[in-house]
Amino acid sequence: MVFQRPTPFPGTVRDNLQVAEPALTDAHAVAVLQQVGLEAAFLDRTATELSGGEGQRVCLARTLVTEPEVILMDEVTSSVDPAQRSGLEELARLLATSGVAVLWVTHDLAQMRRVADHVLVVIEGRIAHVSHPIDVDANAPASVRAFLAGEAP
Amino acid sequence: MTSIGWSGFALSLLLVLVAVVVSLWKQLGLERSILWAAIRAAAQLFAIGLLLQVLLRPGVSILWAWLWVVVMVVVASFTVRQRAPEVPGLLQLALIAFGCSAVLTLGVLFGLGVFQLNVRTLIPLAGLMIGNSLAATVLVGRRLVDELRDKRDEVEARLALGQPAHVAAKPYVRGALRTALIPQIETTKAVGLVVLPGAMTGLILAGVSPLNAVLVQAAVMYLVLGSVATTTTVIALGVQRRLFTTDHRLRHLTSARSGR
Repeated sequence: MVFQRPTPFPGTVRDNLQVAEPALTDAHAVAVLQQVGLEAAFLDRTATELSGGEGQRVCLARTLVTEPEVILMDEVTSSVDPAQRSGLEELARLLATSGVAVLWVTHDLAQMRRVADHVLVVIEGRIAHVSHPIDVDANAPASVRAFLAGEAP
Repeated sequence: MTSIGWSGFALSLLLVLVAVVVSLWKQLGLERSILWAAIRAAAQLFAIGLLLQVLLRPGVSILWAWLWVVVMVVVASFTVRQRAPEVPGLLQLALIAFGCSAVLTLGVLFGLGVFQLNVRTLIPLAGLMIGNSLAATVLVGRRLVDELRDKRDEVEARLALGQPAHVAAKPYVRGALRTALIPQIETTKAVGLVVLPGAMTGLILAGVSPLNAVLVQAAVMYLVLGSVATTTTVIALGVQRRLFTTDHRLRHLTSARSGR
């Protein structure tokens, strides 16, 4: 899981990746970093000193070390600037097309349209609607359409 | 043997007056507190002294002394709970912690014959052990709760990587234990350097030879070190278990200000 704000552990990026897998080799670590678009040199950087976007990528790399079947990305771009935001969105698309299921949580409808293959609309903790991102409103009940339009329930 | 008598005690009250004068002079507003503290201290000490006098009479069963030890453990546990209300289940944990420590440390001291087991040795040693472990016991509980609350994001991230609760909590448990143990280690290191500690001071005042007095003091320092290590470990492990659910989620933690 990757959270809204980066959650680096104390120590270097390598230390962070080794929390997920203590026996992690440098070769494997570099491969995972490449997967998230970071160079090998990041291994020795102090994780808490990275920028928001880099921090999120490290957190994602850390999750990938555990070879997950599903990755939950919970509003991961809320605390990064627009340039890094598109980088993270592309990363999620890449992971999805390479076969790793990604559950991306967002409240940004534009982002949803850029990133999603399928959309689940969650209202008050329940799945209210399932659809394709392009025409979310189609065939949706009135309450869901109102919710998406920003009207109070 | 040093004895000051009632007249000596009365004269020593002049020292309390020094504190009162400072408070008045500097307008600290603490005069009533100081006087009340002096009165309470005297009253409590007299009560304990009378009780000890009774227990030390020949023919009194040592079971009464053990009962006193149990009372001390209970009072200490309530004190710990009172000083750290935000730590869940602390009363039971403290009872277990002090109980374990008493069994272990007193077991070693009396079981191996370091001290002869009687009323005169049991109560003071148990008192020293419990009294000197109180601060560290409170500290480890508060520190662990604070760490897990402040670093909640990190803990959640560790759990999300698939770590079971006790593995995710390990760095924070370790930190809390170190924070609680290091002061006692430092105290042990520095003993005798500037201040003469209580046990040997008391013995020397009573006419015991300094060599015998310091041997006792050393044993007491080790007693407290062993006790602090035991109580803090029990508290840390117990609190860690209480702060996570059985399905490895971190419970909601209140802050110190809002209490339990």
